[in-house]
Amino acid sequence: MNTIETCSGRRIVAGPSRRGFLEGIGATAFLLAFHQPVSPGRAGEPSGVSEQFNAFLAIGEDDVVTAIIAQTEGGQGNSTGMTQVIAAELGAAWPKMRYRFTTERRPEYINPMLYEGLVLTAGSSSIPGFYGAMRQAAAATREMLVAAAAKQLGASPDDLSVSESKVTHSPSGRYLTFGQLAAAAAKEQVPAKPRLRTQKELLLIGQPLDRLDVPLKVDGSARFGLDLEAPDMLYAAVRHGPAYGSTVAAIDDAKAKTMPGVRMIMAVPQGVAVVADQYWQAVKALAEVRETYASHPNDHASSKTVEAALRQGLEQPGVPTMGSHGDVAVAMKSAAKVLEAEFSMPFLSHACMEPVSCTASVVGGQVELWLSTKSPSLDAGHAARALGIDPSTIVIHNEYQGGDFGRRSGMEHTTEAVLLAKAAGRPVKVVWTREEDLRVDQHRTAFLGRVRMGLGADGMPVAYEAKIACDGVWQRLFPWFYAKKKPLDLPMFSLVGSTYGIPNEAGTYVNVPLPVRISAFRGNNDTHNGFMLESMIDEAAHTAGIDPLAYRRKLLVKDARSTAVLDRAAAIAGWSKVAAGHHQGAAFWQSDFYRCRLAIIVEVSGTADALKVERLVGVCDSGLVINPLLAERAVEAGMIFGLSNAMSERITLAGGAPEQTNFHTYQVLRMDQTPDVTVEIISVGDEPGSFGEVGTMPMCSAVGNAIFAATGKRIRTTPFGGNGVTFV
Amino acid sequence: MMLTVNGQERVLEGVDPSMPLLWAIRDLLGLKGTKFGCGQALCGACTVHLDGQPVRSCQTFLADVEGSKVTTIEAISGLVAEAVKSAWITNNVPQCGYCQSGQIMSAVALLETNPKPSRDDVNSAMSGNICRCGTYPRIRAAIAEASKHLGR
Repeated sequence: MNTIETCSGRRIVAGPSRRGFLEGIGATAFLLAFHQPVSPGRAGEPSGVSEQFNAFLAIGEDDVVTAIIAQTEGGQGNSTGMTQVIAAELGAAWPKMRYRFTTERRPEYINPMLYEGLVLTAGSSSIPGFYGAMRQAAAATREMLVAAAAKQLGASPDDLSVSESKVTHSPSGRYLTFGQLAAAAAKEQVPAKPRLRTQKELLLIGQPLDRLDVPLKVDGSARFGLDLEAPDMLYAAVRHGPAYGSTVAAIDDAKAKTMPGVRMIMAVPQGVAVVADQYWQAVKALAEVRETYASHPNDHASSKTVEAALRQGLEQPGVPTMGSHGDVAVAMKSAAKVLEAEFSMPFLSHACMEPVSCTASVVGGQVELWLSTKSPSLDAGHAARALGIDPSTIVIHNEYQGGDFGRRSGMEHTTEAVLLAKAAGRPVKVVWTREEDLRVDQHRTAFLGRVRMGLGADGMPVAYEAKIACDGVWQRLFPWFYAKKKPLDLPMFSLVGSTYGIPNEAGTYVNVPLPVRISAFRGNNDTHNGFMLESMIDEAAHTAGIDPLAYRRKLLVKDARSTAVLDRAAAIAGWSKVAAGHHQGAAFWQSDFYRCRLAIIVEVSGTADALKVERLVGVCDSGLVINPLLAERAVEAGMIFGLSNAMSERITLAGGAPEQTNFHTYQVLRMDQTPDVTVEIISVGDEPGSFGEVGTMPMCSAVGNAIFAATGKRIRTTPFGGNGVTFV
Repeated sequence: MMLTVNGQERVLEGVDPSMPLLWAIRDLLGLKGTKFGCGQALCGACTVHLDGQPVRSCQTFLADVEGSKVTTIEAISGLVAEAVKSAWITNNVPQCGYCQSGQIMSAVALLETNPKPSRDDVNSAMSGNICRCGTYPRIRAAIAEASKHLGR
């Protein structure tokens, strides 16, 4: 057993396999940092002495069990869900559970479902990715508590049971609490293969427990990246150049530098920054700075050039995608009917309610960052590259994120903060305005796709061919990872090879480098690939004269989990039994990565000139449900996010820059257009799946199919608002 | 200049009168519960009560609030506020939570003047507050619950 001391004096007991694990990940030790203080938790630290048993939990002498969460909380509820998993396996009383966040980069915190070497929260994988490791850690701790109790009670471990934060000697009823045992238990041998509780014994799994972060988010005390402060800090306001990648050629700061509070005005990699005593002083002075930018190839980028590039891309051969099978050419020739269509979607912006910010302190060799991040590894990397230092020494403070949706992987704001702090010789907080947040986002790629679906004499699909042109996510966000996987990238997943089992399929991906930054976005590739497939299936059903839900059911009849979600959604929504003037559209989505099957029914009323979304129904099976309340809310929120994408969201480019500057032009869903939503979650099996993004995935197609049902118009470009429909 | 924030008289020395109330609250007074979202009164994240009325503090300037009473999420109290906060908790409304201070301030202001709002009243009063996580159905449910509780 290895024991290491952290700076804060907490003892970390390393598991027996750590060395092997380190070697296994290729020893790049990608941005690993040990010996870091954990950032203070907001959800309650135990008082008094606390023993940290492993990477995932600590037990205090006051009986409080603290789940240590290295995944980040952007609203998805993973901090509550992960705490629940630990409590269930350990046998802790729920009221005694707390959690705290850590930004340590240790191997135990690398999500095995994601990219090598990164401590990263992505892909709706916090719980599925760490379910095994958390249970293992909790089970090992439980056995150490039992071993200590056995000695103190003079009892056989076989007679001891663990529940409600106590180890109880069943024959006599005598017990010791976790707090009483923690110090002794921490000295016990760490069992290499602890016994995991059976499904039935995991009493807290499947319970709709309240979110632990709600009280903090109701009384205003939850701290987000933008709220965190460094001692003696200055503030910076930043403006970025017209195009993505612009660099400053000259700065006229004659007036600005004389303004109150102004400390420093300097160029940053893509723009100019004013550092002042107060943020408002920096904002006002920045308004008086006049800078010019060097010409950049992206200066002439516009929505037209993007469309032209994508259209040209579709004429390129591209690469075949996984899931391709059979002989599409032959099948199309023998098809009774072939449907052809073109689909497109614009760039989208995450538009998190918390604009990006970063506070940095660069003092001597010690660098600290305070920000909302989904990946301390990535942000340490950005800062280290900017400063030319070792990333492992960088300390990061992170609490709650004011939304994520794929946005919080750092880069520009992190780089700006460390460069400014270094130059100022004092900590600097960079706060982007909403305008900058939209201008230099990391957009969901725009895409153009062309599909053909061949139908047999019975109207069922015999061939599906889909070709897409868009930018890559790994290529832009994880170039080192992409270099190894090339040409594999996210857009290739879920293009063809769906659970519908179409006998002949061919997918082709053409990478088109686009002139803005591209990154992850809630639902990623499934949003655009799903839009095509689910719209085409709907069109095929209508062409065949078969009810669209019955058509899907027929294709999915061999998969009971799929037909179950379709049937429940139909029952809840009253499929085909709606009021006069109301119309319904359906969509289905299945993904092995997310372990999901999801059926959505959208009900609308009115005409294309005044269409109202009346109701959303979603039924989701993503395997084992840890917390039905969290799962239901995540799917509901994902559907509403997708509805917003479908109705009104678009980023258009002119002169290299997004034309949308704030919420009046980047229009996201508001309450008045939000329908009632009913979500039902079906729990299946003993392995948890994902909920955070799945609701978003088929949402555009569900809305498009409802629009078709109501108006007879098949719209294949989002957002539907402004592309043939006006929503009320 | 002087203003009363959460019941305490606060003197702000040498401040720029064009500074939005938001930044005075957050950066000069250290009350971080009021959030910056858009800076243009488009999202409602910065909603506070000014002499009892909900205002967007990002577009409310210090020059215009001399001597006023400001209440922020940290100190919002009274029967309506307690009913709203309690309903927010029992309904597990927040997700990321960033917009929720503003949502709660708007909801309290609504129920102070209209204790039994219709669905249209709620939509109309709350549509200036954006929630990117999409907690709108839960906000509607929480307002309905708070309204019901206050009607008892």
